[in-house]
Amino acid sequence: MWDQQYDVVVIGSGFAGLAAALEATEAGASVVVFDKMRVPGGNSAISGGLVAAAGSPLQAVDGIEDSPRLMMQDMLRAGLDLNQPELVRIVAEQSTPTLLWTIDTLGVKYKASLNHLGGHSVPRTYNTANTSGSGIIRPMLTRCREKKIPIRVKTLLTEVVRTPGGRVEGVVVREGFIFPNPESGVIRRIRARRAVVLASGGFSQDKWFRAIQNPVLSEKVESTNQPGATAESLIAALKIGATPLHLSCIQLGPWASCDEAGFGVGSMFSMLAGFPYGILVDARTGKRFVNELSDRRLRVDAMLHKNRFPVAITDSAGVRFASTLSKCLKRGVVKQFDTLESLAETNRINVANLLETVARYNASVENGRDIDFGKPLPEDLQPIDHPPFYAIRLTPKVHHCMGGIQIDGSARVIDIESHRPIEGFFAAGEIAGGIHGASRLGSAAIIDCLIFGRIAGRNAAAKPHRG
Amino acid sequence: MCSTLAFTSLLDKIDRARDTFFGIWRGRMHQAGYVKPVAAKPEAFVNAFDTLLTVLRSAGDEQEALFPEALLVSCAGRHRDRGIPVDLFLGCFKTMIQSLEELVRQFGGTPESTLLHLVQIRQLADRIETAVVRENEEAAKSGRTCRLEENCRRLAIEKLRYKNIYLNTTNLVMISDSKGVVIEANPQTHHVFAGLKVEGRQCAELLELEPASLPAIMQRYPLGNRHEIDIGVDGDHRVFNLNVFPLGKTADPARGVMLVLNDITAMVDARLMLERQVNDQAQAQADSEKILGAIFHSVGEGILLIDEDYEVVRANPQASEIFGLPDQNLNGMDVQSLTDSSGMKTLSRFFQTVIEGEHVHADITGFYVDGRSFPAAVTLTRIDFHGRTFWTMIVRDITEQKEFEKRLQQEKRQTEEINLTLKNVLKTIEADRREREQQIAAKVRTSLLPAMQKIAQTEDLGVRNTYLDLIRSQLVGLTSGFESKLDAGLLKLTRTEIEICRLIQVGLSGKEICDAMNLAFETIQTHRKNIRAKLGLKGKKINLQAYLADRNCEPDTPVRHQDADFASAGIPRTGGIKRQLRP
Repeated sequence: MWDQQYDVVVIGSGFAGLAAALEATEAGASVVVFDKMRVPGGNSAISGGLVAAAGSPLQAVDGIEDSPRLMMQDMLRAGLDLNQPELVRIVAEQSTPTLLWTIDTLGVKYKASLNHLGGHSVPRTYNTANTSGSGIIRPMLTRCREKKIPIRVKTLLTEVVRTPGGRVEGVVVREGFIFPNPESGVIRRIRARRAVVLASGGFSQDKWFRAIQNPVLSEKVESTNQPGATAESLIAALKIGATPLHLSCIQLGPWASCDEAGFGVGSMFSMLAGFPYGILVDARTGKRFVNELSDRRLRVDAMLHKNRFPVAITDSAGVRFASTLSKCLKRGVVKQFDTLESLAETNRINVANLLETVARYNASVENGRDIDFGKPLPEDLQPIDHPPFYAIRLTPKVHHCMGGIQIDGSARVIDIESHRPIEGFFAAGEIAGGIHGASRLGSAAIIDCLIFGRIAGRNAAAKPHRG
Repeated sequence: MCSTLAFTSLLDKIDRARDTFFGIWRGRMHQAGYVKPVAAKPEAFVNAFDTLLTVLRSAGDEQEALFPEALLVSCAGRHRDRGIPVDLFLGCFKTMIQSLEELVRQFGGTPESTLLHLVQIRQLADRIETAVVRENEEAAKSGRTCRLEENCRRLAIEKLRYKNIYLNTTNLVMISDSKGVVIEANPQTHHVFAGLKVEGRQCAELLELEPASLPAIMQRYPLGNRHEIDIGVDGDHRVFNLNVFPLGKTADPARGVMLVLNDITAMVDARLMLERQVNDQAQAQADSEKILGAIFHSVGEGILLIDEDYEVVRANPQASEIFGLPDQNLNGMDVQSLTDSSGMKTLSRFFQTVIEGEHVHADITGFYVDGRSFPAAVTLTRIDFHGRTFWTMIVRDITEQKEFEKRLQQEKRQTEEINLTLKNVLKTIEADRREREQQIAAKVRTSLLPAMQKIAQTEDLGVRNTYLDLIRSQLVGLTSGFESKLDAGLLKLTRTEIEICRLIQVGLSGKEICDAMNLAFETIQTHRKNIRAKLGLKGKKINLQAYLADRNCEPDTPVRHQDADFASAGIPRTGGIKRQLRP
């Protein structure tokens, strides 16, 4: 009946999947990882590599007072309290130990300074040295190779096999799958002697599925995600009785450039320079319209309001942490100007209004308080008056699915009828819903994926061995 | 008379008190808001005062008394020409008179005389005022008439001009009333609607417009936008740009509208043609791009486009798969991080030396995302594009090929080793045989032949017997000592069987024996069966090689098998050796 068998079968090779595979192997289980795409890493590999941690060593260095409690409050506030508090608490409490695990065990390299992302009360965000999630994924993959964990790409999950008795026994996959052709590949039945861990990510690229959840997100709305971020494994989980939640909570990123596809290199420019050290103006009025460091949802709503043409503007002092700048300039995503006047002209912004906006903002910087939108001003912030100036044109793009299937604190998937965990079935990462509620804070996803991935891996390996 | 004289003396008195007067007047002017005390020029006051005095004096003069006001009237006219309105002039004049009256009151004459003077001054002032106002009215009236005439003339010219435009323009111009009925149309309209009635028809019907009422038409075709309408005349379709102008001052068509249509058929035709061409070209380009894209995406080899910074600017999915990196990460990646230092050295050399059109190949080491290295075959070509240089690098993971090559080489080495062993075996056998042949030949030559010679030469029986004994003993010597050592069983074997035994003993497989002896496998099997039968192993679970292992068939042992045994005894038995002995 089965073609192959392993103790633990992991679906997905992003942060959550690899973390689960490493932990399960550590606990002595035989593990296999399946990924439907031709390369491992999924969205994790192309993400910005931002990791939030409360009470971290860098915070201690900078004298920033933070605590899991404060991080939890921030997450709940952004999530409009739709979050499952128990899961939020685990993320907040485990954030720093898990960050240290990436440094000590995986050897991940981070930049020496913290970032202050929108919606966080304090700077608490680490960034990988290469400004990309690949800075974590690569060490994870290397470790998997060393531990001889097979990572089988081009293998699509088509079914989670659950017995009538109620436990998950294994999966059905298509081996040699060629995305997105559903007919490609050969059917294989893989037995999971201990458990299946579903870590297959979100559905931001599934235009059909996401439009059902939120009709505003039609196929015209771009996404930052890799093309494989589709819903079929979520549907497979729902078919065997997993509990869905918050599926319509789909986040758009306010920082992506309209001059490149996907997440690109511009998103990190906006996050590291444009928003914290610059201003966001509507090209049609030349005026600011939102607190650049507010929660993502607020910023996106403001950008979509009145068909605004958002442009983020900063100067040479503001770009000193923008590690993707040279790539942005090379690809024309960010443009450089000697004067604010020429910046205004190229971006079709009313010059007088822009100059007035910048002057007003600079006055706020001098006073140490944003009189217009209450933006929390970074301590090392300087007025925008150091040429050259930089501008990036922005458009909201679908970025993250807060919703998914329900898990408990042990990463066990909850049955929709019995409200009890489904035996032998775990989930972690973006496919697990309820951690971020209505809106996820920037840099809270990677840490969530790593934490619940590890929990799922450990608990999956600890399941009684069958056969 | 007396009053005149008195008035003249009053005027002299006033003249003498002019400084007081200026004080009063200046104050009043300022009070009335006409001048700022500082800004007012003193000469202007002096001039005005002198003029007033002159007028007042002349009023006393009988001859000039008829028009004493003329001077001031002309003065007002001058001011008017300079842009000072008459009311301002009169205002100033009034303050002057009032100041004068105050001065006269200050002189303190008898009440009667003062009153008389004041009345005289007031009368004169009123006369002057009236005259100034009248003159001003007249001047204004004459100006208006002139302007009216001028306007009429201009209107006539403009009307003529517009009439000419109306008559001769190639645009269609129609005037409709408030109900949308055409009341007038220019000749071009009649020309286009040849033979059709235009006046009296609804313009919406005539122009095949969808909205029927005038307000609806104006809403549908607002001014300032381009509106293309299609009209069929005599089976011929023409396209016009329609503009609807209200005739009233407001946008309300209550006073009718003017409809202007200009024929843009030729422009529209040209545009459509151009659009079609552009569409066709775009389609062709899209098709070819799609095909190129499909090739780029579906080829089995990885393709990387590399720019002057040695950064990947484009990569196909196969390249992603080979390096385990998503497109997003591969783009912008330094080539250096895809290979090791020697691979980079090779590539750098290629980047510097390869010329356009040339293909260079090399095998380098590539890195997979998890740090695993793999052998990669790369082909590099150069593209010069818009003054910049790019390189395309075609990459193939040749792990399988390399493994195959390795296996092949291993097999080759094994075969060579076996060959060498066999060759050595055969060589030893050959040397062995030669040695024995030489031994036998020597024995025959040195012992047997001389003994036989002696037998042939002598008649003596005793001697013959001696030599015969010698020969016998020699022959016995040649063959002695082998029976004891020789395995009884082995004696029963044929030469070929012995040979096979030897090879089995060395450890060759059946297949290898076939190759070595150039015999069919079945033949070998038959021999093997016979050997087992002769050695009494039939039906026993004894491995032939194991059985032979401790038996005497080592190639370097003189006493080994039948042939060798006979050879060592100096008695050739087999044909092969006989033939060699007797060539």
